[in-house]
Amino acid sequence: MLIGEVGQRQGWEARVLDSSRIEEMRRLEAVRRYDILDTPPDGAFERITALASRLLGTPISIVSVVDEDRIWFKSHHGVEVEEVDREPGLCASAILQEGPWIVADAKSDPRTLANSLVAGEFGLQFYAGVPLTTFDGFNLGTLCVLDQEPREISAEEVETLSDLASLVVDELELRLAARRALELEGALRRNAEHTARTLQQSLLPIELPAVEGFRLAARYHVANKDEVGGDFYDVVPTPSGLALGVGDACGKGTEAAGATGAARWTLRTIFSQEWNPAVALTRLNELLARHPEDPRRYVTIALASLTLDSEGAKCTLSLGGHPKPLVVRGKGSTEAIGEAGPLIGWSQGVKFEEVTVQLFKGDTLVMFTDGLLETTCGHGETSDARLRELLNPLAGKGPEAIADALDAAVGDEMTDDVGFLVVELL
Amino acid sequence: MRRDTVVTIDAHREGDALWIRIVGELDVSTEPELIQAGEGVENEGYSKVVLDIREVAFMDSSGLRAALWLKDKVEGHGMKYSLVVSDGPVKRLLDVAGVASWFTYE
Repeated sequence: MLIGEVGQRQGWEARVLDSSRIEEMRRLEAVRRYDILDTPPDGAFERITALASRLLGTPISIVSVVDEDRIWFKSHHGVEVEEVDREPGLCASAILQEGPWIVADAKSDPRTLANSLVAGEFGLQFYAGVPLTTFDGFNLGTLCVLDQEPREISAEEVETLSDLASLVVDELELRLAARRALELEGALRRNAEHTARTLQQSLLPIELPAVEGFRLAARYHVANKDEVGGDFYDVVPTPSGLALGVGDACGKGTEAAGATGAARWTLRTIFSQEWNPAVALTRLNELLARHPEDPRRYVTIALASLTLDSEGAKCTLSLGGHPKPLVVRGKGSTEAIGEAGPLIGWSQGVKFEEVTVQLFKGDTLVMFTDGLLETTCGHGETSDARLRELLNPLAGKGPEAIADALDAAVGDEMTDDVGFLVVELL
Repeated sequence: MRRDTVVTIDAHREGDALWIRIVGELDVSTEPELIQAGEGVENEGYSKVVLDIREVAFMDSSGLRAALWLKDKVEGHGMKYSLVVSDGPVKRLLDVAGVASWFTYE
C-alpha cells in the first residue's frame, strides 16, 4: 500500500467520525435541553417504570438517559443502581437505531456478551428497550425492561413498552414547554410596566399569514391605553389549512397579559406537534393547571382548525370557557358554533370536546373575545343576539369590511379589551 | 375607560353555614372585597359556605376567578361550598365559562 493511499483512507475515516460525532453532539444538546440529568426521583416516571414491570412481568424496569460517558437512570424500578458506564450492547446501542432493541439471551448474543452487566455479577440475561425519541428525532435514552433470566417477548408486549416510552417522552415535552412558558412569563413580568407595547406585540402575530383559500382580517383594541391588553389571537398555517385561536386571561393589566403570553406560547409549542384543537386544549390545561400562579388565574380560548375540502373547509372547534364563534353564511344568516367547554388552567383532568362544522366557500368565520359582546351587545352581556344582527347584512362583504363595521360598532369607549379574527373562505 | 363599580358584601352565620351575599357588580375592582370576606373562613368552625350572587347584576372574569378561589379554599378545608344564582347574565357567564357543573347550588 502506498503512503498516499493510507493518508486518503485515514482522511475518509476521520470525516465519517466527524459526522457521527456531530450527530452525537446534537443529541447531547437535546439531552441538556430537557434538563433532566441528575434530577431527583419523580412520581410520573416512577409510575411508568412500575407499570412497565407489572405489564411485562419483568423484575426490573428503567428510564435511562444516555449522557456523554454514562447512562443515568431517571427512574429505576427493581434495582438500586443509579447510573452505569456507557458500554455498547444495551441502552447505548438501543439509541443508535430506531425501534425496539431486544436481547432475549444476552449471554449468548454477540451484541451483548461482553457488556459488564451481562458478563459481570449482575448477570443480565434479558433486555428490551425502546428509544425515547424527541419530537425533533433525537434519542435521549430508553425505557427498558430487564431480567436476570433469559426470556421471550411478544409483539404485544413490545407495543406496550413502546406506548409507555411515548408517555415518558410526552411527559418530558410537556415539562419543557411549561418551563419555557414560565421562563418567558418571568422575563415578561420583570419588565412589565414599561414594556406594555413589547408585551402586546408578543401576544399577537406580527402579520397574518397568507394562506391559499382564505382571506383574513384581525383587530385588537385595548380598553385602557396605558395598559397592556390581556386578549390574544393567533393564526398558524397547518399542512391542510389554517389553525386559529382567540383567547383572554381573567383579570386585567400586565399580570393577565403574562398569563395570556404563557398560554399563547405554550399553545404554539403544543401546536408544533398536535393540530387537534381538543387535544391541544387538554394539554394546555394540564400544563397551566399543574403550574398555578399566585394569585391563580385562568384563560379562556376558542381554538379552531380549518381543513380545506372541495366545498370549502371543515372547521373543527374546541372551546375552553370562551364564547362561541359565529359563522356568517354566504346567504346572510349568522349562527354560533361549538359546545361550551370549561375554562383553562384552573383544574387538572378536565376534558375538552370538539365539534366539526362544514364551512362553504363564501362563509365567514368570526372569532372574538368577550369584549366584543360587552361592547356591541351591552354591559355584562354574554348573549350574541345583537352581534348576529349586526353581522347578517355583512355576509360576503369580505373580512376587512366586516372588521371595519365591527370596529365602528365597538366605538372608542370600551370597558374591556376587544380582539377578533375574521376569516373568509374563498 | 374603567367603570367605578359598587358592591355590597354581607357575610353572616346561619346555623353552621356562612352566607356571603353580594349585591352589585363583581368585577376586577370589587373582586378584592370578596377575597377579603373569604380570608380566614376556614378558622371559624363553619361546615358550609354559601355564596349568594342572585343580586349580582354583572360579573366578569375576575369575579368568577374570586368565586373559584373561594370554592377551592373552602373545599380544600373539607367544607361544603354552594352558590345561589338566578337566571341572567351571571348564570350565562357560568355556562359560557363551562363551569356551571363545577358548583353545587342551593
